[in-house]
Amino acid sequence: MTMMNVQLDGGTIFKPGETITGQVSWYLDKRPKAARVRLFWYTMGKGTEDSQVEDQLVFDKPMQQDNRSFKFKLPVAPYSFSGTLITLRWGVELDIKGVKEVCAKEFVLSPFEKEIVL
Amino acid sequence: MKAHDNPFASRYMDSLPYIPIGTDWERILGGLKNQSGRGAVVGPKGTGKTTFLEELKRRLSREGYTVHLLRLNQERKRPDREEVRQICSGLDLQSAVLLDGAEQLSRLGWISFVFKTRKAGILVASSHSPGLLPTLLKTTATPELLQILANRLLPEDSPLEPEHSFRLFHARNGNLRLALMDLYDIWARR
Repeated sequence: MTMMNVQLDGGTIFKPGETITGQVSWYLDKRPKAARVRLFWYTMGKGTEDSQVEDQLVFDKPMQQDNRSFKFKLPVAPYSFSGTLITLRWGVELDIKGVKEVCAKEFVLSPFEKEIVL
Repeated sequence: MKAHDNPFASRYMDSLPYIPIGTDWERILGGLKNQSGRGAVVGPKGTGKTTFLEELKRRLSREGYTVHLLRLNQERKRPDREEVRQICSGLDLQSAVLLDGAEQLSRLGWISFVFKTRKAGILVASSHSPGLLPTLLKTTATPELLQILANRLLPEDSPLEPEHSFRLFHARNGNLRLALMDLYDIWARR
């Protein structure tokens, strides 16, 4: 049985330059060789999509059942936005070597305390 | 409708499978073996050649092949020399090289590519016209196929009607990708 979870502290709306903290936890069938948490954004919509990992934290000696904290300083851009042609979203994901699925939690990065609507 | 809710967003379109018409995967893979692992996928733009190669990559990987998929297009008319050199240095009978957009290469470029990849157990190239390798598959598109693909993405209670599929298909001269992108625009206006 595989269980993975990502939790963000302080809600799901953050301002550019703020620090985002949270916890990740997992329970796996066996001890993983590696585990990391990544801060990323991606676009979605019509045409070519884009994505970028802005930062990552690799956990030392991950256990079969584990619980770790993370902390990232958010960049000043790009902001989260949504439109009919393209959407940009931010997220934090837990990526464990040998586990096909990733567990992610999305959040909004915006100076206006909400997603920008185009 | 926002982009992330649109059922025809690129990531959903890219997840659509290749659906063989008038054949099946067993016959296609058997044909490839009968052709000594060499074959061309031939068809007009937007009829599923790239999707076929991606599906072929997955299937060959499952069979234990090390698969290299190279893509050429209008913006990238020849493969990266260093990438080809690296790939070719490790080729053996359990290697498969898939080249998408082989029509971009010059005749000399193609001959050179075939020579460099000669050690690969499998070489499959897609092209708009036949003649590069023995034809393995001719990709074709129909309004019915467009309807099937669209309905895989649409909610069950909003299927694409046959008439609408027919109109979109012919408006785009049988290019399924463009027709699906038109559906994106239609849903974006909702």
